[in-house]
Amino acid sequence: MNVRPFRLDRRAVLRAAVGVGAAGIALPRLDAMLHHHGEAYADGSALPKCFAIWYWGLGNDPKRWVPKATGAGFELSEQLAPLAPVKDYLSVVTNMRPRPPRNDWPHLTGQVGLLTGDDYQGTSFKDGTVKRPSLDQVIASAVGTSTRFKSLEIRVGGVDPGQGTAQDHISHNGPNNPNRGETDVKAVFARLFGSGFQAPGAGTSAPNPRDQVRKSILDLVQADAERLKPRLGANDRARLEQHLEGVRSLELRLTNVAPSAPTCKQPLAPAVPADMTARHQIMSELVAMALACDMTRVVTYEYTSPATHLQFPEIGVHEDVHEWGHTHGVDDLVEKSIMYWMNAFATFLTGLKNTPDASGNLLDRACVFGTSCTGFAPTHDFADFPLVIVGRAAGSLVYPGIHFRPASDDTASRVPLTLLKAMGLPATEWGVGSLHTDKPINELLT
Amino acid sequence: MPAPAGLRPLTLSQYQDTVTDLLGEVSLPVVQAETSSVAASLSGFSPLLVEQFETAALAAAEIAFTPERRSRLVGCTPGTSADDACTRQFLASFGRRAFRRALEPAELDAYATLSAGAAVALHDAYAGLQAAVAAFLESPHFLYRVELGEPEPTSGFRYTSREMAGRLAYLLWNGAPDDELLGAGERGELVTDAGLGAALERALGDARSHRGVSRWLSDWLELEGLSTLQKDSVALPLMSASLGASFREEIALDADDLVFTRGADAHELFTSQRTFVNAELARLYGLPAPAASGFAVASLAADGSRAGLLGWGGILALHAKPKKTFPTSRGKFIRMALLCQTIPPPPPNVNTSLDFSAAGEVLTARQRLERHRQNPACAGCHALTDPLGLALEHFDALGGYRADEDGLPIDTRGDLDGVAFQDAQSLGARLAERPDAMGCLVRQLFRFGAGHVETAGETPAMAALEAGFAASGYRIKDALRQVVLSAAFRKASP
Repeated sequence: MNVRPFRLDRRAVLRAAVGVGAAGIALPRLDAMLHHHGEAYADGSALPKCFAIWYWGLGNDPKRWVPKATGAGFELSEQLAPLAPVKDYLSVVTNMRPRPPRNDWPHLTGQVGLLTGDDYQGTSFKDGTVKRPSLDQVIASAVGTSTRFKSLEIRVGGVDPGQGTAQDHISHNGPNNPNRGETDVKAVFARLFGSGFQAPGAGTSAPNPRDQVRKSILDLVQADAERLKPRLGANDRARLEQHLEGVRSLELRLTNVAPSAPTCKQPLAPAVPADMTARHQIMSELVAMALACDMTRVVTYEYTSPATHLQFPEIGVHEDVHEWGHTHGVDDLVEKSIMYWMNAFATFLTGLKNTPDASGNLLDRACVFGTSCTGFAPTHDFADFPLVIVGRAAGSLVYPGIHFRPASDDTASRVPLTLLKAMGLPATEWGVGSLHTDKPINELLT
Repeated sequence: MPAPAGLRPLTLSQYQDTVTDLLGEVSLPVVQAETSSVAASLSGFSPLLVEQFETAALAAAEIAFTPERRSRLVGCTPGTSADDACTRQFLASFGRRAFRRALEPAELDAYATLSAGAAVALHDAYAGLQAAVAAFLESPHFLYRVELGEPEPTSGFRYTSREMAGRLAYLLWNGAPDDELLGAGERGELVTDAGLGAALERALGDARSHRGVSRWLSDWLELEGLSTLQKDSVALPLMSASLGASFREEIALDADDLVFTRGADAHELFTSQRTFVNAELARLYGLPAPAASGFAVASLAADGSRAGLLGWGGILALHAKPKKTFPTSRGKFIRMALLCQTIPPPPPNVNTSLDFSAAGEVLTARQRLERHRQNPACAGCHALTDPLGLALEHFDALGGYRADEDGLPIDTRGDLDGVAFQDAQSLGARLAERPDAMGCLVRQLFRFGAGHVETAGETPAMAALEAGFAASGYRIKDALRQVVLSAAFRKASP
C-alpha cells in the first residue's frame, strides 16, 4: 500500500466535531488537526510522551564508561562516544547501583531489582521469575490505554529457552507472565503495519464483516471467562483477569481507528535480515515508525538478554562473549563487543532522532532508558551500573542532558522513580525493602 | 497433603497436539507458550500470547474448513440458523472434545448464536462453524485445563471423574481425551480404581501413547533447546541446520524402542549400546551410515565409551558451549535432571574466571576446574558437578568423539559419591545402580503429569511410586500406571 498525500481543512474537522455536539465521536488524530505550531493538538492537548527501555546484557567497563566531568556539557567517555549524534538529548547517571536484598543470581537480581523494584523470585527448580510488573508495564498501564498496542516488546539477539521467565525477558506483567520480545522482523511488520494498519487520512472504512466476526468471537471468549471466574481461587482469578486484559486489547484494536500522526507512514515490508546488525536496523526503523504513528507509547527493546551468551560474528567475535569475559576478563574481544552494543544503541536513538515529529523529532517527546544486567560483568559488579536517559519527554527532562554523579554510591532505584515522574505519573516512590527510594533525581527533571 | 487444584495452562506441545487431535494436521503460526509442564502450570498469558492464540485459532480453523476438509470434519451439511440441527450437533460434539467436558445448554446456545451470526454475515454456513471452532480454540475452557476438583463422598478432595479424563489423556497422550475417555469420565468411572484402570490400559494401548512418552522425554530433558541449537560450525564442522532435529529424532526412537517395542528395563536408559542413527548421526558417532535414507537401528562400539542417554549427542550438545565442552553444566544436568538433586547457583561476586594458565601453559578443562575448586567458596558445588561432567570429556561440544583435548590427554576417571568410574560408559553403569536414579525417573514422570515439582507433603506418595516402579521390574509403562493410579495424581487440595 502506498501513502497518499492528504490535506484536510482543520476548520472543516472542527466544524464537524462541533456539529455533533457534546455527544462527540472518537476522531482519528490526523496531522491536519494539529496545532499549526506543531507543538500540540488543535484542542491544545499535549503531544503524547513515549517511553522505551533499551536493554543489553553484560553491562560496561566502568573505567571506560564514566565521563570525567559532571553536569551539562560533559565530554562523552570512550564507551559512550558512539552516542555523540544524540549528545544534546543524553543524560548519564553514574555511581549508582541496584541494591537487591540478595545477589545469588547476579545477572538477574540486579536488573530485576532495578526494573521491578522487588527481589528476584527463584526458590526451586524452574520457577525463577519476578514478583511485580516491570517499569515499562507500570508506565504502559498509565499511558498505553488508548493506543493500538499497550506496549511493544522487541528482542534482537539470543534465545535461551527453559530458564525461568527472568532469565530471558525483561518486560513482565507479573510473576510467570513475561512479555516475550518478538524476534522476527516479518512478524513485527505484519503486526504493526499489516492488514490492521490504516494509513493517515485513509478515513474510516466500512466495517469488515470478518472483523465483526472476530469481535463476536472475542465477546464470546470474554463471556466464557466471566462464567469461569467465580469458580476459581484468588490466584487463578488474577491469572484469568490478566488473560482477559489481552482479549480486551485485541477487541479495542478492532474497534479503534488507528490514530494517525503527521509523519506516520507505512514502511516497506522488510526482507529477512542477514545478520544481527541488519535485524537491529530493521527493528529500530519499525519501532521508530510505530512511535511516530502513535501505535504504542511504550517499547521494551531487548537488544540482548541478561547474561548474553552470544557471539557476534559481524565484528569477528566468534566466542560466547559471556564465557569469554569470565575466562579472560575484559580484553579486546569484550571491549569490542561493548562498543558494538553502544553503536547499536546509537542506531536506535538516531533512528528516533531522524524521525520527524510534530514537535521536531521523536526524541523531543521520548524518554529512553538504556540499561543492562551488570556493571562490570566478569565479576558481576554493580558499581557504575549503566544508566542512560535519552530524550526530552516533551519538556519534562533536562535539555541539554547532563552527567549526574552523586558524591557517594547511591541506589539506582532513583532512576526509575525519576522516569515515572518524567512520564507524568504521580509516583512518589519506587521499589520495596532494600530497593526502596523516594528520592527522584531532581537534577534531571525540569 | 496433595497439591492444590486449579487452572493448568496448556504447554506449547499440549496445545499443538490438542489442535491436531481436534482438527487433524494443521500448520500453526508461532505461539510462544511455555514448553515445560511445570513452568506452564505457573504461567500466565501475556497480551502477545493471547494475540498469538487468536491468530493461531483463526488460521487453524481456516485450514480445517477448506472445502476438501470441512465435510469430513463436520459430518453433516450445516444450515445458517442457530437452531439448525447439523450446526448444533457439530458444536456439541466438537465443543465437548475442545472443553474436555460436555457443553452446558447455555454454552451450546452461545456458540450456536455466534455460528449463525457469522454464517449470515459471511453468507456461508461453514464460515459460521469455522468462527465457532476458532472461538472454542480461543476460549479459556480450551487454553486452560480446568481441574478444580470436588470433595470426596466421605472425606478428602479429589479431581472429578470428568477432570481425570483430561489428566489421563494429557499424561499418556499429551493431547485431548477422545470420546470414549470423555464418556468414561461422564459416567463417573474415572474416580473408581476399576474404571480408571480400564481406561488407563486402553490409553496405554493407543498409538497416541507413543507421542506422550516422547513429549515427556522432551520436557524432562529440556530437548526444546535442540530446536535452536547454536554451535560454531568452524570449530565443529559436523554442525548442520538439521542436526538438532536429528538429535531429537534419535531420542524419540530410542525411547519408543525401549518403552513400547521391547518393553525393556529402564536401567537401559543409562547403559544401552543400541540406538538409532541417520547419516549425519552415524558420521558424528563414527558408525557406518544406514543403508537406506532415514533412521536405522545401530549398535555402538562395545569397547567405546558411548552408552545410554549420556551418549546421546543431543544431551552432550545441549550441555556444552558453542565451541567447547562444559563439564560443570553436564555434571549439573546429571545431578539435577537424572538424580533430582538441587545444585545452587554460584555465590555472588565470585570470580568465575577459569583462566589460570600461566603464559604459554596449556591446560585441560579438568586442570582448570581443579584450580577453580581450590577456592573453598566454589569447591562445594563443583565437587558435586565437575567429576561427573569430566567423565564425558571424550565427547566434544557437539557430542562427537575426540581422542584428546587439543593434543592433551583426556582423563575421564572419577567417582560418583565415592563409587569409582573409569569413563562415560562406566559412569552410566554407576548411575544405573543408584536407586535414586530410578526414583528420579518416576518423579520426573510425575512432574510431567501433575505439572508441579513434588511437594514435601507428597513425599510418602513419591516413595510409594518408587517402590511400585522397582516391584514392576522398572518398566516405564508400569511407571505410567503407577503415576496414574497414585493418590498424588488423583487427589488434590481445594
